[in-house]
Amino acid sequence: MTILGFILGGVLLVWAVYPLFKKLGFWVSLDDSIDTLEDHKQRLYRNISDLEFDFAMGRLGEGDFSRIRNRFAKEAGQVIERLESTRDDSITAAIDRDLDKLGSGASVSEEPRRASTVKYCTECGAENESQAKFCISCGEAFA
Amino acid sequence: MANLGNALLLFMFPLSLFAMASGFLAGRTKRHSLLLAAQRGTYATFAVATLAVIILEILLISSDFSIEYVASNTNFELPLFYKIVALWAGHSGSLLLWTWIVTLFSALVVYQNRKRNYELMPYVIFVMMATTSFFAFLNVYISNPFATLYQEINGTLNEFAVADGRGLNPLLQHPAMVIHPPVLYLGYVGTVVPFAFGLAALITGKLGSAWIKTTRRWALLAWGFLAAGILLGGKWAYVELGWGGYWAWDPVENASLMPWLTGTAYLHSVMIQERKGMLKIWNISLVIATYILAVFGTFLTRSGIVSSVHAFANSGLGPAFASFILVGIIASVALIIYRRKELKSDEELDSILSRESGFLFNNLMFLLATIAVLWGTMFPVISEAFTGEQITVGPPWFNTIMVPLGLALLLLTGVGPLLAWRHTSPDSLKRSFRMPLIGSIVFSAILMAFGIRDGWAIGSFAIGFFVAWTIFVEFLKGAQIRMKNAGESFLLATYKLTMKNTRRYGGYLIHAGVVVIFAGITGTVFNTEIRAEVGQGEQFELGPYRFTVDHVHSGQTPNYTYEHVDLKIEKNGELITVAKPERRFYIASDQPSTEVEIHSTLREDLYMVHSGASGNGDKVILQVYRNPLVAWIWIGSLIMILGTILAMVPNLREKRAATPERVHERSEVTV
Repeated sequence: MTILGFILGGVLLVWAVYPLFKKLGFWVSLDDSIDTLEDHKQRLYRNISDLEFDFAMGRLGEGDFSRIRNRFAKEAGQVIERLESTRDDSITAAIDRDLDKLGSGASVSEEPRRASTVKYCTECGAENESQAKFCISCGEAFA
Repeated sequence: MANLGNALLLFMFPLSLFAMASGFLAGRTKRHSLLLAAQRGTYATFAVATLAVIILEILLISSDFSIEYVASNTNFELPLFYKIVALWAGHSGSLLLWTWIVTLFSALVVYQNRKRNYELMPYVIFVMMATTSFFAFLNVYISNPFATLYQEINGTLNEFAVADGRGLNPLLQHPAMVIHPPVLYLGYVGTVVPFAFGLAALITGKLGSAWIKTTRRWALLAWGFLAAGILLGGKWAYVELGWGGYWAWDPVENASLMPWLTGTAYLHSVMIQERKGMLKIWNISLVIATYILAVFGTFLTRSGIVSSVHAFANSGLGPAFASFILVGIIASVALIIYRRKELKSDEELDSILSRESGFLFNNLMFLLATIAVLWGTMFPVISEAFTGEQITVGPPWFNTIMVPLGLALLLLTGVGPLLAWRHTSPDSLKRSFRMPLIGSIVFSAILMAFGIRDGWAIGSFAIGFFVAWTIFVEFLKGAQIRMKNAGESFLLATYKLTMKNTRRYGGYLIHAGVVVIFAGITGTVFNTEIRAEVGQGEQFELGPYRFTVDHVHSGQTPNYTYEHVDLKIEKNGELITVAKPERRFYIASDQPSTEVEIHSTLREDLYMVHSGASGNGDKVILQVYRNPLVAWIWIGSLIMILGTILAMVPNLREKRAATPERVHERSEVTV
């Protein structure tokens, strides 16, 4: 029985360690400022939604409602503009960074890439068409 | 079989260490291979832990009395059902269950996030597997459930099996025992998920909303299980311990209450962070405190520290837990200090008359309550350490502090929904307060007219009435807006209103459950009891009830001997029921136990205990309690659990125009 336990445990350990011997590449994340702005936008939307609900339920007067809502709407507009421009800059920078790394021989995948023509398999790191449903290298299904 | 279990346990420790190290290195290097290894390590640890649990169950069911754990917690004649649940009847089995639940949650979290949260997940695995490693270490080296019995023959140690086990503790032989501990453990262990994500956010500096969004349901799940575990514990104590109550401010009860209090504070204050980017340090501290208190709760229960400081020092488990908790606190505080600049608030409080300030008061109350419970629980330990004498603070001390705090929190439950986010118009506040306030004053007057004079009870019922009114109005007003706006029937409007914001209305339902529970607890004020020594045919009275001893039966089952009394209960001359309070004597464990008989109605419980025979054995001693409103505690608990489930259901999606939120755009509708 002890031997069976060691075989079972050993097999699981080998299965867990095995990926360390495969070359699967790295992941690179986009600039944090996009997430920060996206959070800010979501926060403003939530605030507008709460405000509308509180007004409908009679918890604040029309004057307060209009004033605060206009402030939020204006702020949301500014955040969306900044988000658009940061996103464009960030994608360009990320593509440049990837190309640099590819030039140095390392394979690169990028998790939050939003407007790329290629994507990288999370299982084996192989490059695939952005429209692909399965990895051409290992067959992993893409979400 | 035990050897197989032992071998698997031996693998659990290095596997979890491997996953932990791979996770950490994956976070540092951003290598896919390391992350995949960490993920697989987590799954493998879960597989090994699952097999170990299955093997321990096989050993328990097959009554292998060469295993110390099996011999200590079961016997041949124990019903199969209790043999299965004996998995969590003792130290090492409980710890194995704890470990298994950590590995289960870790595997679920890894699977759920296998293709997202790349930045956070390596460190999430690192933290969860660090916890697993600690418990695996305890299971392998300090409290091993597969340890075999040895005896010394001619100077050498030999394995041996006892003829029969010592049996399961009689107090644990109750159906509620089956679910109470695992449900509570699911709550305790569930707190590790938000903790791991919170720590990962601190390590990576990704302190945005991602970690909060990802763990929202996990936090709610852990909180719900903790609540259900605590309430089931109360139910078990009520029906099994035989002292007539459900909560005694016992250290083990307090241990489960503390993480629930901080968890509740977090579920409220996180809403401020989601809307205003405020209280970031506070929220992450609450997540950390909840997890640390959950581990501390396990430590209190398992180390025996409260019964004696010396037992703690000698058990081996105590110092290990203390070190683990200390490392957790130091690492968390260091990370918060390191990230303090990124954790600054984005905005400030707009107005004191706002939902935010309501939540801040709520958090203050929960914090005070947690500190009070912690102080009261640890006071015997502190006093013993400093004076050598154990001084215990009893229920009166806890009640003096917790009753006012509880009522203040209940009041906030009603006031909160009347406040708007950011700023509430004083006029609208007056309007919203007027009717519920008048209603609760009238309700108090009615209670007094019915002869209730206890100030606390009137206060509690009046506040409960106020809160119930505000919750009802929230649903009613929202539904009315939908009815006018979308032309829906009342039922459809209420359904859609609820399902469109399950978190809000699930929360209100939880609040409604809390009101009902408070009403049930308030019933304690009116408890009465009697102790009677009566022979066959003799009678005694309690309030309007007359009790007559009809017969006294005795008998034996393979597991225990018993004596029960047929007790006729009459009210105003009419027979209500014949109750059968019982006294048992468990053969294997050599312990007596009482089987309480409870005649429960919505109005009150009649709680009857057979306490034994009187001096010369011709009479039985019966203790009867008349406990008003207890049933409402269990009804409120069910409402609370339903509310928690509702809050976890995804929102119904529909066009915005049909919702009450858009009503201001429709001039014909006013609220």
